[in-house]
Amino acid sequence: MTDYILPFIGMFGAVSTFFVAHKGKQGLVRASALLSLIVGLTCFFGKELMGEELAKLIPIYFIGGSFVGMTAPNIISSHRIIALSGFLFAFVFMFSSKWFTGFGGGLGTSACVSVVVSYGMMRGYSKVAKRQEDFK
Amino acid sequence: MRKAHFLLLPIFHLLFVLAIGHQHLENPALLGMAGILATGCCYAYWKLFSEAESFAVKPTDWLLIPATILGAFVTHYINIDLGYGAVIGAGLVGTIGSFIPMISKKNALLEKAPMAIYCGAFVGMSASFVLEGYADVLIASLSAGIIFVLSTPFFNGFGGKLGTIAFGGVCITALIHFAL
Repeated sequence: MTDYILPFIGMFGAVSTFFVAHKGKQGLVRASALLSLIVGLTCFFGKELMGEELAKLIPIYFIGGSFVGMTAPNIISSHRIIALSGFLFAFVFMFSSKWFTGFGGGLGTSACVSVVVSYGMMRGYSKVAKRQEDFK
Repeated sequence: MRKAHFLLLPIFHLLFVLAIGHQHLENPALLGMAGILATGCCYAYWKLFSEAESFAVKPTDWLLIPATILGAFVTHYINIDLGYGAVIGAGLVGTIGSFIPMISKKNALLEKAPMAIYCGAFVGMSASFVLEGYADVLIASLSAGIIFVLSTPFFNGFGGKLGTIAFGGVCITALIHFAL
């Protein structure tokens, strides 16, 4: 059950950070850090209500998603792609190698891989679309 | 030659992705996912590298390394010594660090400080069995700080860049442990 929730937590982290950072004009670091702090504290003090496992995992997947949300609009401007990247991040992190368990930066690396892949796919799609346009 | 610094982050990304594939050799779906991620990353790197320009590191940027170290130490303290966990540690350090540019809005170094501090905070998120004490935190954050400065012009605007840098610093520390 938990595994089905976590990708949506990642997505929510990405989109909320993206909006607070850019539309809310709080800047990337404050948006990610402050939202993650709020979620972290909520889960820390609400452990008994939500259960030990969820209280441990929600902040982790949220902060990782928030790293995706730190992407600049000139890289990915669509909040839908940001949301999808946040979703993808959760899978990348969930299946990451046990070699790197406990490594600081693992969340960020998972997030960055998701963003880079999304960016690459967008560039590839634009190129194909342009070729089809030229062909017409 | 200066564009060679571009490869710093891709090395750690591909290491991470290839490790996923290695971990799940017997699962075709996950192996396929790792393959797609690696391919997507390589395509994006090829595009970005061809558009990247050569650069020289500004001498003042090296002054950001102490900010990375500070972020790592304080986060490690909140995470491990006080027991509040990695997310609260990084969240608190990052939030406080984000207000530093308000000290002087015209200072370019203070403008970059929150990023350096938050990058250090990700190093400090490491578990105690990975970074066993403050000496390890120092090595990891110093390494991350150096990578931070050298990768300044590349992957700007990509979410997770700071985390990748921190991951690089922690990997270097783990490698030193392994070698010794």
